[in-house]
Amino acid sequence: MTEQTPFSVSAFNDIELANNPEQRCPCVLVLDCSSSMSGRQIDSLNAAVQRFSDELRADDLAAKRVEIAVVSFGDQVTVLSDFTSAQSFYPTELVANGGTPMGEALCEAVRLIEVRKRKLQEHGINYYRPWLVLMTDGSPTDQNTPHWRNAVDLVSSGVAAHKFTFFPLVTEDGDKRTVGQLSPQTQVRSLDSHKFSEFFLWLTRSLQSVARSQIGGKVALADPKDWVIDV
Amino acid sequence: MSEAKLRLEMGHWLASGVSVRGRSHFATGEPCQDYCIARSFSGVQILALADGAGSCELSGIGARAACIGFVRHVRKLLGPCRSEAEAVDAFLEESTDTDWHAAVESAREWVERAALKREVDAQNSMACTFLGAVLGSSSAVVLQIGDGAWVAEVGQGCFGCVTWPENGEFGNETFFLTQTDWREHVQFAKIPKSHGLRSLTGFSDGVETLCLDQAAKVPIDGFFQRLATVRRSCGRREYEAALEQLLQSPRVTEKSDDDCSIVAVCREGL
Repeated sequence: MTEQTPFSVSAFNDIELANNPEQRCPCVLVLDCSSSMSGRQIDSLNAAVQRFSDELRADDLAAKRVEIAVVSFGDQVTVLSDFTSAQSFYPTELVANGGTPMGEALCEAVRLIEVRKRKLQEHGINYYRPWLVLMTDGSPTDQNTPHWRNAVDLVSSGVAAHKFTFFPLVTEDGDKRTVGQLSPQTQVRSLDSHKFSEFFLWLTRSLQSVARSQIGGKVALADPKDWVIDV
Repeated sequence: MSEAKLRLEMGHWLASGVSVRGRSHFATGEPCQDYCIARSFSGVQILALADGAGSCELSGIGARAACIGFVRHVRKLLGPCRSEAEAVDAFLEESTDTDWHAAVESAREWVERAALKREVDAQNSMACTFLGAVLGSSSAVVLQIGDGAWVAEVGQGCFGCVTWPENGEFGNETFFLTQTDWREHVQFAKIPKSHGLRSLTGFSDGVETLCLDQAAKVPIDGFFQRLATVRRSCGRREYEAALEQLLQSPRVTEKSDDDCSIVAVCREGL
């Protein structure tokens, strides 16, 4: 016996639906890999970034919509990963050595964001406001160079113009005051260096919320109490 | 004038309108924040659609108020000429965007009133986008603030976007009827009789991803063609029930989990 398909379902069987690419949520991680991070801290940061990538990949929507880039700074500034969708993001192991060229790394990260945005625009792909996440345990060693001044200019003007959302995180030994120069209107968070994992879990949840949010909608982020030590 | 004669003179449009709650709103228990009206008054078609901002708790109420305010204003505006096809078409063709700003003002006033009643601020609590259209026998005007769009068929199978979604730089930003600088964001267009309008469809942003090729900035013809074909094949209630089912089916919800609204008119019997 054949089941009769009701009119309501069958009427639109032939309707053609657009095949637009998923909207994107770009997030660049700017990670301190200076020598002061060596030992337990870099191990725990590596484990946290690994888990971050695993969890995003396990979420169908976030895997397609979130794009991750990683810039490390230590011995030198390195783009470990240009923007890659979370489903194909497999983090490179971070190695700690050298100084803290934070300004140069931030300039590179802002450049990556601008290039990515242009590319998405060219392809008609909608995107959410990119996230720029800075994690450091120190003080910039390029503070007296044009790199730092450029970074202050790019980050403060970028935040003021809502070009991206800036999340500066400083561990217990970090220089909150100097990092605070980057964007006077952004709160610098104190990250418990034993809680990288909790921070990245929060970041995962937050990016998942953004990836699920709708046009016109604002996103409520989870309380960062699990990893912040000053709130 | 008899209804049959009026219909003949005005050209017969088949109107429809549906709003369905998106999957994401089901999940959070939020109500549908879209609202739409598709009405025929003595042959004049008035379409209104508003999409309440997801960030505003009462935006669904704002969306409803905006649609009612617009429709009421247009009814009053066209009152003197609405049963004379030529007069309606002439009015629409001669009207300017400034004439229609008054209709937008009316929609805004209704939202303000609804906000006042609940002792909230319209801009913060009832923000919504807005799409409106008015059709005579062959002419039409459309206007829009924010995202969503109007797509017109002006020759068999010839679909084009009359308006395009206005977003900010980012995918989750748009512009609202309720904001003070709304005049800077009104898209306004007239479709004269000479264009041979066959169908006109307005939709909210939840539908954009289904029916617009966002890279090429063109409508998906096969989407709008099918809507018109199905509409011509059945009664309004049957069509709207079918469309609601489509918009809640996995084929659609895997592409869009937002509220979806579609208002449309298509010419009968083509």
